[in-house]
Amino acid sequence: MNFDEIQKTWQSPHNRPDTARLEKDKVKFVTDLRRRRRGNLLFLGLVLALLLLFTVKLGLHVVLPDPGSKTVDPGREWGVIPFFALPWAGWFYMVRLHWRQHVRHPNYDRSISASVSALLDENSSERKRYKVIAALLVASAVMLPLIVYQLREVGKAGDEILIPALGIYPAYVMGVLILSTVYYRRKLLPRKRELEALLVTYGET
Amino acid sequence: MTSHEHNLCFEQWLGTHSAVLHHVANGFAEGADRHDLMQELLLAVWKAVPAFRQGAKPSTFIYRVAHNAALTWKRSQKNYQKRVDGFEASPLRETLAMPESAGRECETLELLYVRIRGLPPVDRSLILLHLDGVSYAEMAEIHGLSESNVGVRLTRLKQKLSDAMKEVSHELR
Repeated sequence: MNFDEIQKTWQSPHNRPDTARLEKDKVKFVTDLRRRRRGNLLFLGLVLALLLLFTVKLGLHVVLPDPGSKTVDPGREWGVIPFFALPWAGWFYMVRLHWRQHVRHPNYDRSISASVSALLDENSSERKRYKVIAALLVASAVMLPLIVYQLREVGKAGDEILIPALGIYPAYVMGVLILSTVYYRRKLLPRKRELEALLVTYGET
Repeated sequence: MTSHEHNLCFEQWLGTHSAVLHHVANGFAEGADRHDLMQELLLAVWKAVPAFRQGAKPSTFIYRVAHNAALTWKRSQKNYQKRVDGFEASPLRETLAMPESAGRECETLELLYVRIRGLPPVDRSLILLHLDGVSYAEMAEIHGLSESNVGVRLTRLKQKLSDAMKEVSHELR
C-alpha cells in the first residue's frame, strides 16, 4: 500500500466521528467540568477559610483578649507565632513559584515543544512544592514540643495536651510524609522522565 | 470573553473540527482509553478558548491544543483492566467499532491507526497532521520545529508507514 492509498483510506467517510457518540462525550465533559470546578473551588475556599479563621482568632486574642481569659504573653509564648506563620510562609512560597513559572514561560502556548518545556518546569515546581510542604510539616512537628512546654509553663495547658501534640500530630506528619514520598516517586519522577524524553525527541531528526 | 461567548466558541469549534479530535483520540489511544483521551481533548480545547487570539487560524490553534494534550496525556492506571473488560463487554463497543458492512476499508483504517499508534509520540503527531492535510509550515509552527526538520521527518515517516501498510495489504489478501 503506497502513501496515496493510505491518504485515500484516511479520507474515507468511516474516519469521521459518530455524531451520537460525540454528543455523549460532550454531555459527559460538561458534567465533569462542573464537578472539577466545584471541587477545586471547595478545596481552595476551605484551605483559605481555615487559614484565615485561625490567624484572625489568634490575632484577636492578642489584640482584644476576653476579660475572662488569660492574655497572651508574647515574651513567654512566642513559639506559637512562628508556628502559625508556617502555613502562610508555605502559601506565599507557592504563589511565588506560580508567578515565576508564569514569568519564565509567557509564550508556553506558542508551540508544543514550548508547552512541554513549560510542563517540565511545572513538574519541577510541583516537586519543590512537595519538598517545601514536607519541610514545613517537619518544622511544625519540631516546634510543637516547644509550644507545649511554653503553654504548660504559663499554666494554659496540662497533661491532656501531651498525647495530641507529641503523639497524634507527629504520627499525622509521618503519614503525610509517607504518602507524599509515594506520590513523589510514583507520579512526579516518572512524569519528569516522560517529559524529558518527549523534549529530547524534538532535538532528533 | 463572557461565559456565553466562551461556550458559543467551543460549540462552534466542536461542530467544525470534531474530526480532528476523533483522529487524535484514535491515533493516541485504543479501546476504552479513547473516551478518556477524548474527554481530555475536549477539556484542553475548552480551557484554551480564552487564549485564542483573534486573527489566528482556529484550525491551527485546535491542532496545537489537541496534539499537545494527547502528547502529554497520561492514561489513568486506576482500574484500567476493569475498564477495559467493561468496555469489551459493553454494547458501546459495537457503536464505536467500524461497522462490519463497511468491510475492508474499515479494517484497513483500523490497522492504519494501529500502525500510527506504534510510532514514537512526536512522529505520530506529525503523521496525523500530515494526513489531515496540514502544511509543513503550520506543522513547524505547531510543534516549534523548523520546516526542514518537519520535511525530513515526514519523508522518513511516510516511507515507514507505507512499508508497514504493505505488510497489512498482504495480510488482508
